[in-house]
Amino acid sequence: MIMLRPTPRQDALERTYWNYVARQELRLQCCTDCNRYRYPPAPACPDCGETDAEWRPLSGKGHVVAWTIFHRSYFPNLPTPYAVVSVQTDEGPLLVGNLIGASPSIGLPVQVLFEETRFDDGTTGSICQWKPLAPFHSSSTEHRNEPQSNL
Amino acid sequence: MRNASRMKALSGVAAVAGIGETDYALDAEASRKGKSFDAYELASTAFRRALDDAGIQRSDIDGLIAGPPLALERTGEVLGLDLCYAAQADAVNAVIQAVLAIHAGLAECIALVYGNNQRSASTAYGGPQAMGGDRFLAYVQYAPWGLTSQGALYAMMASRHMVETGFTSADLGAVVAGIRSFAAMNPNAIRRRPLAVADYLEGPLICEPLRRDDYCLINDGGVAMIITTAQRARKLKRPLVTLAGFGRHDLNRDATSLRPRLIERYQPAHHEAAAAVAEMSGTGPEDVGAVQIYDSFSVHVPIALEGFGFCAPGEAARLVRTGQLAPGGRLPVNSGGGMLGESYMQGWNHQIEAVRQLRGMAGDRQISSALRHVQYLSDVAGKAATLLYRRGT
Repeated sequence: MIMLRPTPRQDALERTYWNYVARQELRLQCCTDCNRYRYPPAPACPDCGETDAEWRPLSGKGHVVAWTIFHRSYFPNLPTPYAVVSVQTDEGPLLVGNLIGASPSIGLPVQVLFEETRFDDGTTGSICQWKPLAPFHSSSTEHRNEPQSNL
Repeated sequence: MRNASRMKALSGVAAVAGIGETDYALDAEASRKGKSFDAYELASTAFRRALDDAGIQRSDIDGLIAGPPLALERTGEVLGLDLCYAAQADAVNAVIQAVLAIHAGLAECIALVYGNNQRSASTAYGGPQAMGGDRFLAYVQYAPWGLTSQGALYAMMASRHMVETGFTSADLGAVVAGIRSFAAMNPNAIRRRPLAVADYLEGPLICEPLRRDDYCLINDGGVAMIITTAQRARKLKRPLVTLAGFGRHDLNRDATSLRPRLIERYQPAHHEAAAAVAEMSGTGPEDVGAVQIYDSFSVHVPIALEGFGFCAPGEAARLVRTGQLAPGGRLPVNSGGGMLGESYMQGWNHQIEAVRQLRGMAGDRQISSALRHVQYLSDVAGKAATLLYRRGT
């Protein structure tokens, strides 16, 4: 099966995020006035109302704050099971991604992993995923079959 | 900022004079045999039943609140209503708006009407066309990672709640089992087969840690309520049930990043809404004999009970393990079977059950003849809202 991911939302600010990711860079919009990160990107800062922003690089490190594992398929071109995690980045914003190479658990330290991917509109690019911050040895004895094509 | 004295003036001014529902169980059976339903037909059936229940005529109705997916004009057209007040709102906000409109003198007798043919129309709540994505960005933002279904968002909430509080899968199973025990006593409930916790735990995982039986039904149905002044309702044929209080608080900051949901678990919103209902009604959780909780997913139950102050944060497991939420318990949850057992009417059927219990007309599942307050709790997408129904006076 060829994995085809649903295409990201078509929105000018979103596209900027994905264009950085395609270059293997994790950058988020940040208010130049009050230094507040905005994710998803937005036209104005909810704190100070300022519209000026720059796309600042993140360290790519964080920890898992919540997870789920999809056992039921909602997208015919995404093989199950797959883990979705919410990661609190070291810089503060929460980001969602798939966890690759480990069973999810709350508090798990993770680092960014850029994965080449194809989208269902026929385009190709990268997607920001997460893997355990090396070195990590899971204490879980339960083996979860991560999609091989993700690795 | 809330004005407690102005809110108090609203307490008890409006009452539920009539209730109507479609035949969920019979219709679900017909659905399985291939029958297709129309949302406006369902709404019309519920509306006529609510008029009959109240003992009033269609010509008595001067206000309409239509619940999405119904369109307002078409609803009024199908029901044959010309109006001096109209609005569109989900279940909890429809009731709040009806009270406000009656108090403001915009109308005297308002029909709240909902109809949904989501089963016949094959409405998708997950996947590429996830319902609600136009209103809640989080429902579609994460599609590239395969995260769209509302159940998955609640599964993520559950994973963190369980680690932080010690709530277990077996506790979730007991919540579902309790609600299903109530459904078994409701002839209009679709899932009337009781569910043992052991069977729950054998059920397939959908979005782990949630299992099949943590997910609500998807069926066709309609619900209607007639809300009027308490003064007028006293002259009508049903026992009086008033709206003693309500509260609402929205968390929008960082909503799409899921921070209010995952990190705060909506608790700041629950606390504000709970404070509002307490100020308005002069009562608190200790005065409430039963609760109705928006249960599209079972995990709503512990999160709402902790958030709205029915137990301390992290204490919901204790309520579950001592049987307090199930039939015979101190705080029965979803005595009609809720959306997990009776019918998925997006919070509308809970209002009907609250009124029925306070009228003492809930049949085999009647909680207690001394029941005085039933409270409704919901927190869909960080919009915490609550309604307090009161018997008599």
